[in-house]
Amino acid sequence: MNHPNYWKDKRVLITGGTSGLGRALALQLHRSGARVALVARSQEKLDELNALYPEILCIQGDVSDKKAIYPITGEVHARLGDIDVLLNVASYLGQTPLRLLIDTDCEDFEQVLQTNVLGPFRLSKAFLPEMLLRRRGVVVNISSNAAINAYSNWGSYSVSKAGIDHLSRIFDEEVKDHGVRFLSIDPGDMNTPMHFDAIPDADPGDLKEPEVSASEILDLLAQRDYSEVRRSL
Amino acid sequence: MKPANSSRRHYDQTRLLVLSGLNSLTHSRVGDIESFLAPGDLLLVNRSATLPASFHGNIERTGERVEVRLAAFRGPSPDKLHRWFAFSFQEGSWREPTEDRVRAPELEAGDFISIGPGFGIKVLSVNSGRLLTIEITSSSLLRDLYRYGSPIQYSYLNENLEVWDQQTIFSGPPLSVEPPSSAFPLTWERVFRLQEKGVKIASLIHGAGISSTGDFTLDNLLPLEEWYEIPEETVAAIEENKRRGYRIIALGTTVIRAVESAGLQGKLIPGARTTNLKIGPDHDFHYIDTLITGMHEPGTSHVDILNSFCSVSHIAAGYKQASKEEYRAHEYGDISLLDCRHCQ
Repeated sequence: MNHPNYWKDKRVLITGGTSGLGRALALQLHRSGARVALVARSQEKLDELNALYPEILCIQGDVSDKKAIYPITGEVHARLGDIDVLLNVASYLGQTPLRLLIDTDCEDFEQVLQTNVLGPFRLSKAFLPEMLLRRRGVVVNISSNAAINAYSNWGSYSVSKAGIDHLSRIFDEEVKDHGVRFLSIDPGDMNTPMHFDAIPDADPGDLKEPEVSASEILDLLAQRDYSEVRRSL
Repeated sequence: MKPANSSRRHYDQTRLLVLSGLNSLTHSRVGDIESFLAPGDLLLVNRSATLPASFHGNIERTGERVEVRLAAFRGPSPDKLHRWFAFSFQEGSWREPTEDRVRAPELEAGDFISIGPGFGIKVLSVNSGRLLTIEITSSSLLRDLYRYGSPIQYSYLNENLEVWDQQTIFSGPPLSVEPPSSAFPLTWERVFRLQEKGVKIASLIHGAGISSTGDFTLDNLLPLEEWYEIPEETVAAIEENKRRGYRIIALGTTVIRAVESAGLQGKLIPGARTTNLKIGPDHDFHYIDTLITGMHEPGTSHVDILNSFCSVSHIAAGYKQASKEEYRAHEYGDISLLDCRHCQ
């Protein structure tokens, strides 16, 4: 990471922070002196992480559940304070093995949208007020090249990522004059459990390590380059 | 005035009663609120979120059921949400008027009220029968507050409230037990319009307390001691407006209590503390020029503040007109803008 001082004492909330990209972001931010809160579903994984890094605020919660948003945001407000950066990393592929759209259950499609679009939307709504009142803050959503390209079998995930791209663009258009910016970042194909859930026979040699993508994302944020809302790394 | 009995918000269509000048009275809508604010005005908002603050549990000593409503956050800081004032109520539903639920089981200091696994309320002291100081015990406090709590609500409403029904567009740290509801009709679009016009917005956090106990004697104790925090930037914005002669407008009476409390020593002091300030008809306002607030029943501590702000006859005339024009009262109802403080 090229801008370690930028992150010192920044308050950052990360969803989906116990594995893959979210975990890599959390650890790099923590090492750079940021105050990090992390939301994930698995209490067990949170406990493991918390044992190693007691300074990281670990909150159990499911961002796809409307009712869960209130205790999550309450805990962040109570124990971390106003946040500078919200990183919506938590993501759900849908049922695996991935299916054709025609074979996708409506309920599963709905769950993908709840996690990948509605979750980030709700958390953005929850943390935008303090950002707008202070006239500063950044929300980062994690996208995918599946948002642009129509790959067979990636239907509900692709639609959700196309949705998060546009959600980011519209939010940015509405709040950029008030000091708050949105980015939707495609981190590239990474060597993460989620990637292998989608493509079990993927060659790890062809994949980026999540630590590399995390570092690129944090550098991009430190450069404060908001010329394009959607980015591919 | 009839209460609004639904939590549905009317945003720009919400009625706005404007009292200004000596006896001037104008009927407007929140969608036109810009026309009553001027460039340079400072609008102060309370960005506290509202907790679901009603809990039902068993008194361990007697086995009796009881409802405990959190009444005010006692501090010392938002990361320590254990210490509260609270009121006990006879077990029942919000659909029964609180006046009919004042026969709460007797509590003693040291009692423990069990609410859920690992979650309960320790009674530290009991005053006037039902006013409690409590400490909440939980290993996962926020999660348990939201899991076991339900919104405090009153029998004039028709439906169960959800947590989100009590939040405003400014909601941040959850320290209030009833919503700072003057902001309910506002949208961010309206706030952006005000900012485009040159109105400045600054915030503070005030843990809004309970508004009613169902008992006249206990209601007279309200508002209880409440916690607030005023950031340095907000103090600077207030002082700048005061120096330059621009208006300072409070959105809600909680903002008045916080700001006037922070300035009690003749100078605004930023930071966090509790206040016991009761604003009566003789209060000498030092900072707030104009108040935007909901419509409430005469005789409440809320209306005491209005009467300290505007002449009693002007408020009474305004409320009479508002009733005639079928304005709706209480937290989901219509609002008023009182710009008559300097006209008495």
